[in-house]
Amino acid sequence: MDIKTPLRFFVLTELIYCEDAETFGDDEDLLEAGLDSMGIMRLIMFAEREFKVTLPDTEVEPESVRSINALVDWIEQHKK
Amino acid sequence: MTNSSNLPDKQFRRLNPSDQVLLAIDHEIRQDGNAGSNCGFALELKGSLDVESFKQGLLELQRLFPSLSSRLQQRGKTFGWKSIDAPISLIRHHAPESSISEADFKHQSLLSIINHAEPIEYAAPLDFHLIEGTHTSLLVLRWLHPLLDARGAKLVFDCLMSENRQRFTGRDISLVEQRLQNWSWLEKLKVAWLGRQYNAQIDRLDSDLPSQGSVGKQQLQVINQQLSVEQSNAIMANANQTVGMGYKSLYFIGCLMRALQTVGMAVKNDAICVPYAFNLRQPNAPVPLLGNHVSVLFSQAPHGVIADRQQLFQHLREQYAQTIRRGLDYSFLPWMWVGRWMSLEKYGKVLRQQKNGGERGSVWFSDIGEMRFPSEQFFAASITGIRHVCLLTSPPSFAVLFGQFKGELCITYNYLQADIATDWVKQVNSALQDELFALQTEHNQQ
Repeated sequence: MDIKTPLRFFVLTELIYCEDAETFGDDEDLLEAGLDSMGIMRLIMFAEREFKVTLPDTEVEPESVRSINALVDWIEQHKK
Repeated sequence: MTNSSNLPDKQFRRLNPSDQVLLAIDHEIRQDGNAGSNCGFALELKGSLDVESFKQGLLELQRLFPSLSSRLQQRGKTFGWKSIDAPISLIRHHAPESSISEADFKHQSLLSIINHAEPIEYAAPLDFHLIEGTHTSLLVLRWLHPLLDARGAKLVFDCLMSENRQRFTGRDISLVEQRLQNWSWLEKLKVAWLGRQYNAQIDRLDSDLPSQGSVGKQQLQVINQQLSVEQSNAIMANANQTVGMGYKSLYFIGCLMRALQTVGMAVKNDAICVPYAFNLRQPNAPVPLLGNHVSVLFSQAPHGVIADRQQLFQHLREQYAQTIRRGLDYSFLPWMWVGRWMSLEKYGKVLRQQKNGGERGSVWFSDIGEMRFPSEQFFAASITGIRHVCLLTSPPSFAVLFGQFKGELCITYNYLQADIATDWVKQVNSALQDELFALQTEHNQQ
């Protein structure tokens, strides 16, 4: 199942603003781009619902939510 | 209020459903005898502001956003801002040569600006006040809340500071209505039903209040608690350790609940309930600048839970996660849409009152987060701090606003005097700091 495409769409349409979403890199810093604490929670709820995973609170660290790629890695770890 | 029925008019900007909520609140505040939903967002400046360039900026701002210079008008059941094609005002306040200190002069001037009463149909929805001292000044953006929310006020400053002001125009839409349009009628009904359940769930417990409330003119008073970068970092570390990085605002709410319970409330019921708005705008988006784009969430905890710090934060996290999981965060949007057809009197009561007639919110709360501006300079003056104030309803007569600038946490207590005593606010401030630093204190004692 493709995680990155729906995740990227959700982040760039709901959580952060980017003048040209297509140019936003998968390794770019989401926290610098404006992802806030409420956005992180929405992101976790979205991922749990869409990808049928449980993302433990204890793992909500800057490294886990730093970029689209970091998020994909984090979700995939819990899909196994 | 002017009531006319003209043909469609490009100079008339209709209030969106979220603006209408704030208009009902404005009406409630005026019914209490106070000045209305005046808000203030201020920059503390060091050095001289280039006033002539700033005035040019205001002219450009008014050209790009005619609604910023307008008056509220009613057309049938519709309210909106009718542009009046006049410059946005900049009012200058000079410190008198008297015994009053500059700091006191700035503080008193800010309060008199926010407490200034004017019928809403004559009131400018937005103006600027420059309170000038010898080497520092306070630039206050005062606005009526139905015009825009705090995020919009921040965007006004961003726009004035920008070399490309055009990027703040466009997408002048209601994000509430846009979201509603994405839902079928069946989905709207389902979400509305969730909203009704959400309210019913909150109303099972009656809320404590810091004041009984009263009718009659009162004065907004403000106490600012500025914390250093080191103190702020310690609090953020505690927040991360206690609730995790996704729940920072819940840390502030939980600490506030415990502080209020420690100090005691004038009206004691079952629980403390903290309503807070969340913004539908994407963080950092320059558009839409105008309008309110907010819905509301509640954090609520009964006394027994508040008494146990660990249990409280666990409870608040679970409550918040459940709210998001069940989609309750958007559940008031259909009701906001319906509310536009209610009278302001009825709408105000629906928004605020529990079934028993008591006030739902124990306290107003806001966390505007870290304020980042495009530049450290504002028309040649350096930005050294921010202030954020708002008038509010009686009850609860008490609002606690959190914000951060250059890593320094700023807690602002807004309260109505005589409903709330200054000594009580100082006690809450002391208790709140004890709570915010609690882990750090435990660590230092070990």
